[in-house]
Amino acid sequence: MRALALVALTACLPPVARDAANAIDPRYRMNRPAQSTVVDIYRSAGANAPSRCKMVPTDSQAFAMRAETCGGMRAWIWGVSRLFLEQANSSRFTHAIRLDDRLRWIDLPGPCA
Amino acid sequence: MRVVVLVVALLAAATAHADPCTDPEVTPRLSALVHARRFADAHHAATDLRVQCGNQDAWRLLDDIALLRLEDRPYALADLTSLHTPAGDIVLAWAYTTNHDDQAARTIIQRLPAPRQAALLALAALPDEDAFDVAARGLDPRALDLGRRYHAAREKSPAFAGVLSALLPGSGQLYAGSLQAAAVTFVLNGLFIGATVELARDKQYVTAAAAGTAASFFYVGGIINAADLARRRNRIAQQPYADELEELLLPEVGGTLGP
Repeated sequence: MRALALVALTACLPPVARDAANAIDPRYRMNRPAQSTVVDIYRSAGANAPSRCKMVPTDSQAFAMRAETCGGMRAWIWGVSRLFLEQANSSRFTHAIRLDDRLRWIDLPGPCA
Repeated sequence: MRVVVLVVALLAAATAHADPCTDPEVTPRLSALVHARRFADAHHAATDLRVQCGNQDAWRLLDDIALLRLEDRPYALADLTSLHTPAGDIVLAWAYTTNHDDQAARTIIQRLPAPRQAALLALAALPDEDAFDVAARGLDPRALDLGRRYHAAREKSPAFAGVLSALLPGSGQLYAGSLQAAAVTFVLNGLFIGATVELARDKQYVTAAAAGTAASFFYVGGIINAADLARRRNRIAQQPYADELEELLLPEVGGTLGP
């Protein structure tokens, strides 16, 4: 009975991981996923364009991370959702950190829910 | 002359514990890094220590906690299973529980003393107000109070935000508290849905199908975003109480080492 209760209780738990609270943690987390073709093409196309992306990781990095772990379809949907999150642009929804001499919003891709 | 003596004395004091392998302050410093949520720093420091000085249980545990927090789980879980310390078992049980690995969690929880089992179950029940109230009875009275404040801090319903956005794109974002996201969602969805309808009326079916596909991505993305914004808003509002509860009930998970 106790075991059943535990299973029921853990059904909607948050993951162990915490949001990054400093500039080092997102860099560590972003270094692990492999590169994808999407990111390679995007970067080679815009290699000389200055990035003013407000988000960490950038949209293409986040897309590649999600595509790798959750598949292409979910990556697209979450990519659109992330564009709207970027518009929300508020500390009520995301944490800001100073990275590369700029204040940026952290949105590290979480589990594939 | 006095200044020279003072500098020499300070240097002597600083070099007295220069060897990290024997410095008693090293482990508390590592623990403080985990406490301060500098997880990548803690992991790198712990790795250096383990290479330089050999394994110590406390360093292994703190390293594993840092890796779990960084979502770099496989190594951490494998290392925790071979640690066999009381604090290690608690962290392992918490990791399995939050990883939805219920069978493994049950196995570890059975090994824990009853008060720790109760604390773990209470934290696991935190998302459900009634279940938490039941599970937290008999624990530190501050836990019940913190639990109430945690639940009172919940501001928005993600499900309601999602439904609103499904009915009228952008309304879920407005409910979650972002006028900008609401405006962008409404305009983009309007443009794509409008374009799809117009193209279909003109019998340009291939182009209409392409516009419809894009519209469906923006429509579903808008619903997901509305629920996500509400969930994020709740999480940011509730996080201080969740952290305090975690520190109160399972301090090991936060990197606090026992005596």
